[in-house]
Amino acid sequence: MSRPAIVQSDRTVLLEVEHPEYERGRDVLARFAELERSPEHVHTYRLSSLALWNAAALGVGVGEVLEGLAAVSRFEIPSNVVHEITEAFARYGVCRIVDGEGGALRLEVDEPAVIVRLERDPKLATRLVRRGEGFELAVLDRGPVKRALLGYGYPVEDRAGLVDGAPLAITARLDRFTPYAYQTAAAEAFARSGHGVIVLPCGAGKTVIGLLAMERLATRTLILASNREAAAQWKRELCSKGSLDEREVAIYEGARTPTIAPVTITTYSMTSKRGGSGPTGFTHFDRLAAEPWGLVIYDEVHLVPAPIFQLTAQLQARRRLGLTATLVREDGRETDVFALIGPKRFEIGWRVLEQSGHIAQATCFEVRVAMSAARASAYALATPREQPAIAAANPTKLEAMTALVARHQGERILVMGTYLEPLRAAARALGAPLVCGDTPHREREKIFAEFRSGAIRTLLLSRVGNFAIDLPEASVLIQISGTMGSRQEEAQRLGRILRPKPGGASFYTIVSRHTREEDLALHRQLFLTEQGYRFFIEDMTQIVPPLEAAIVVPPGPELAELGDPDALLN
Amino acid sequence: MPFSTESSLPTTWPLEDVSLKLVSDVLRCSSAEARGERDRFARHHADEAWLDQAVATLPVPSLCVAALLARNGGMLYVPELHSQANASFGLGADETDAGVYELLQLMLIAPLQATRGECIALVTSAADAIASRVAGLELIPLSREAFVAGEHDGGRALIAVAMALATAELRITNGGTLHRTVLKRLAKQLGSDPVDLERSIVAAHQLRLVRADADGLMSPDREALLAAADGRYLRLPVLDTLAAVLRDGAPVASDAIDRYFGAIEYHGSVTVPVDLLGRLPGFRAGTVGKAPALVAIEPAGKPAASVTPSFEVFIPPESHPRDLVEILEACELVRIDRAIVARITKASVIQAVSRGSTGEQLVAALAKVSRTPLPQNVSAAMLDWAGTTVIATLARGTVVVVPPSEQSRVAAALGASRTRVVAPGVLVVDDGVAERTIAATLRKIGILERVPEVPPPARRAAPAIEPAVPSPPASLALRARVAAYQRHDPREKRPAVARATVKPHPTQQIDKPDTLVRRLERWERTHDELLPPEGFDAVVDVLLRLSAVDVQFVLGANNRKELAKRLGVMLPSRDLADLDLEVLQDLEDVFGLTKPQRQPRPELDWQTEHVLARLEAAARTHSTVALDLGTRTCAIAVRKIAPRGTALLVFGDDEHDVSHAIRLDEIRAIADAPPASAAPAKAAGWQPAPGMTPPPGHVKCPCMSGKRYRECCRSTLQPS
Repeated sequence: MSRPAIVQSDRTVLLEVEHPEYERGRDVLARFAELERSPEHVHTYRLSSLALWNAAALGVGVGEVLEGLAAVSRFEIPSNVVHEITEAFARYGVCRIVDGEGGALRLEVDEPAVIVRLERDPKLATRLVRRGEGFELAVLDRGPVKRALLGYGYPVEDRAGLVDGAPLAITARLDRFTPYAYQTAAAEAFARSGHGVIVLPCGAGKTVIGLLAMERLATRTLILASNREAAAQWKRELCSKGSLDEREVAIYEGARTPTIAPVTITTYSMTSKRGGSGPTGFTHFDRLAAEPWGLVIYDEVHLVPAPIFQLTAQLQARRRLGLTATLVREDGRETDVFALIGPKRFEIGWRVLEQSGHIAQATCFEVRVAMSAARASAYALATPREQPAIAAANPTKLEAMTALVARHQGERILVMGTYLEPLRAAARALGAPLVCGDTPHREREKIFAEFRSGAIRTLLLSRVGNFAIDLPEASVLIQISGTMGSRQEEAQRLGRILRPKPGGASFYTIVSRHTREEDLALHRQLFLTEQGYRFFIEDMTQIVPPLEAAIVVPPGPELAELGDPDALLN
Repeated sequence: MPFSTESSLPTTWPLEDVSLKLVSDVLRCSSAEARGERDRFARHHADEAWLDQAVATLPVPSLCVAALLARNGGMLYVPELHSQANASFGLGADETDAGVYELLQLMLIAPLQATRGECIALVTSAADAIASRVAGLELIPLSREAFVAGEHDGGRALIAVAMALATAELRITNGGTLHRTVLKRLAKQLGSDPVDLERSIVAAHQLRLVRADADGLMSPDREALLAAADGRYLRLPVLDTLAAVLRDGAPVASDAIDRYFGAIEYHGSVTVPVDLLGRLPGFRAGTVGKAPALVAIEPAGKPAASVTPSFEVFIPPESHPRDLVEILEACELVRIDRAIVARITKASVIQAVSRGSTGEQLVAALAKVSRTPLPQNVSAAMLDWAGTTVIATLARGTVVVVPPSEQSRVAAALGASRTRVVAPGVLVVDDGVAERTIAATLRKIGILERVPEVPPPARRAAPAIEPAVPSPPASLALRARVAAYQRHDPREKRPAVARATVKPHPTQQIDKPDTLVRRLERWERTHDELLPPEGFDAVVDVLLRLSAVDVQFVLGANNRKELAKRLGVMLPSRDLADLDLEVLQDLEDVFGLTKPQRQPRPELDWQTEHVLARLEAAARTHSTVALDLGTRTCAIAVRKIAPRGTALLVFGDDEHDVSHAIRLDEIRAIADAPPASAAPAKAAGWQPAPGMTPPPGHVKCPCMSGKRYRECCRSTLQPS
């Protein structure tokens, strides 16, 4: 019988899902290859250098990799791939950081060419001091040096010790909940190495993994979240599922209330505020970095802004845990995540958890609606900058949305969008509240609470609802506009309705036909389709039967009223 | 006495022209019986069963001789026959002569006395039938068991590369090479090495799987590719013949195939390297012993492609090569590797629609080649993209024709003030708006533009040059007999007659065979030195059959650029660079044939002719003439000429974008100038005729010295 995989010369491995030996192939590849895409029929793995180095770190040898590949590959492995795998393994362990004298660190390099290169690198000249056969470096330079060497193509085997941090007794309250097996496994995978990223779908319970990691390390923890709502949710979860009381978990909200507790939660935007006279020039970061944290958790690690990468380089001596559902960045800085926070330690596919019932079964639809002739003309005449706003404000979208709401009568429905005017029009049409950037924090919490209780069954959200909003009761999401082609936003929005529930979840994207929205929607869906989700394309006529099409919708704003497209964004 | 034209082979001898004396000598009959015998054989030659029987019973050397005569156009000089028989079949001179003798006994050949010596020709009545039975006889079958197959991708990579040219916008530059930037971009896109990619594109072009238009833009020949995917080569029948010869499954030595190609008339420069053959669908390279060999295989495969909801298409090696053509018709090629990866995009679907496919056809084709059901979002998107594709027709640059329903949208986009609606769906845009701007605006609103194809003006038919028509292959049994003979198998008897005792009967002195050389010479005489485009097509067709080295002897310098463009990737660039096209040399060196001595042609033909008379004649016949305007040469298909003052207006289809008006006094002065031969140019130095504009200094001197004009005759020019 033929084997299930095809090894390509660009180091990708295509694994046929329907093949009888698929599971064997998957198990073999999981040891040393990175799962890149897992759409229906064919999964794509990549034999990236990082994946191979991770395998090497776990004790997998080059022979084992080549034998494993040969065992699952239908054809002979391309010779360049064999060479590159051997080369990648040969590079692992060439550079090592070990504990030096007097609290400093020592970089040992076995390759003379790398030594010469390091000596001549102007960026590293101030960080590395030649001492005998190696280099001496300060603790703070650990991150930049590791990143620079990774740029050379040499991973650093970091054997220097990690700071333990101040102890903190925290336990998970197993009387209140039982962690899923994958959550325990993820926490253990992280605890073994002390730094790394865990990738799980939205709704899979990443907060619990954070809690379990804290329990295993028993140390003071700094949590970086994406926004205030997310920070509040972390606190709520930690207090309800962990043994900490309210005083031991603080939300750091800036200079006015600089609360620091054994477990402190803050936001990325707070940490990356410049100012102060501290060593990094980021006032709140300097303040927080001075605390004896033993663990730093990066929630939604795909959102880490550029300054945080720079700051994270300063935290290489602390244990670091990254949590995300969508490790895709439109700026392509995934490598920085791997280099500075740590490699991927644990991952479970969205469809896997869906099939096991840990997240809701979702059906995705793209509904294409036409534009009126006048609007189509206006769209054609508009500049590329204006066009997305015109397509997003297509009144026909509201008709489709109303019909979809009617189709899911009785369910909890979220309507999400990027442009505010169409959202307001939709709110008027549905008579439902809208939460956007202007909505005060308390009012938001009140509306969310009403939605959770069922007092409100339809809720409209602008981009503020993209991340970390926990509305587990929502089962339908209608997306009337999006931020260009963001794959991450699409996945995160789907994540809002993935809490397991009977009957599954429905995810709709309404797209104006013959506009760039069609292309952008295709790009947005890419991450989810690569995770194995199917999108069904429906036409407006399938949603709104001709007789019912005459639903009265308040007139949408015309082009002149829309004004500057940027002003429409919250 | 001419050779017959009744056979597809150019040089066969009519049986009725074989003298009765020869018949009586050969058949040892009386002169009175000879006529009857000759008539009897004429009847036999028309009888297929008799011919089958004859071929079955003829000894192997006779078959070999017949095969050599057939592949050389029907005739060979005896020394060449001996030499080729030895090289191709390992026959000694005695064996060859014995083979000739046996053929003579059946009156299948005729011995002739030509200017260069004795030659043997097939007789016309049996030539085609014999040729068809013995073609490819030198492709000796080797042991199937000993064949070790090499790595082979079923020709999929070559097909994929050819299909990728549909969207690559790759051109052949004026220098005859592929556009480097586009090539590199394509190589990067496909993850291929640019050198390998170039080689594949050149190969695909040589095999006529891709074609280049007049601007050098390359595109796949879908029909040829579909056939190639099934192991058939529509545009290169010689490969079809080879595939048919090899299809019995027995491997053949690559050397033999090389010789086979090399021997086929007209086939020189397009000889397909055997290592390339191994990369084609329908063939598989390998080794027998340690020698390279080739077998024909039936292209096989099953629907094995996978289409994912993320619009990716994976085409594993198990797919049939034909599937690849079907898939890439609607997809964009992403990577050529073990598994070929493609992506369905809006642009690729719209382009397929603009080529004439419908959305339903594209979806059905994809579903047919896929081993899994097509994801709904993929099929829906494809149908949507295809069904809603609006195609506008741009006529005369500023007239836009769209479906009436799109009229207002298009008018708004093009600018209402600059656009007039003259009929439903027909808009006229102001002249000031460039066609390019209109097209860009239409694309911006999702409408594809199409410029109607203008039929080319009727031109005088190019001289017909018959393509090489391959004959059906010799049967495996016949080739096996040759192999057995070469092994000295006792079952294959040696010819009993050690040497033919019959001397060729001197016949009427024959002319040089009307072979390729003759055709080229004739063509060259009847055309001006600058070729009209259709002439180029014809000559390129001929050149394809010449070796690269020979090209330089055929065309003059004026045509070099055009030739290079046309030949493009057909010849390796280094060969083009080496070409010295400036001197039309005697073809004798190349072909070993005598050629009437001729005065060296002056570089500009028109100088020695009466231009006005020629122009008038051309105007009557609407033919194309070449005009030299001092600094440039143009070809004009003349319709009418009219003197206007001192200018001569020539009305016609200008082929090379030059002024149609030529000063009358200039023309007359040129026409009245003494012919070059009358005034020895070298001795006196060349001088422009009165009223004639002298050529620029950097061009070759008209005195044919080979130097630049400014360094030669201009420096000695007497001030007037």
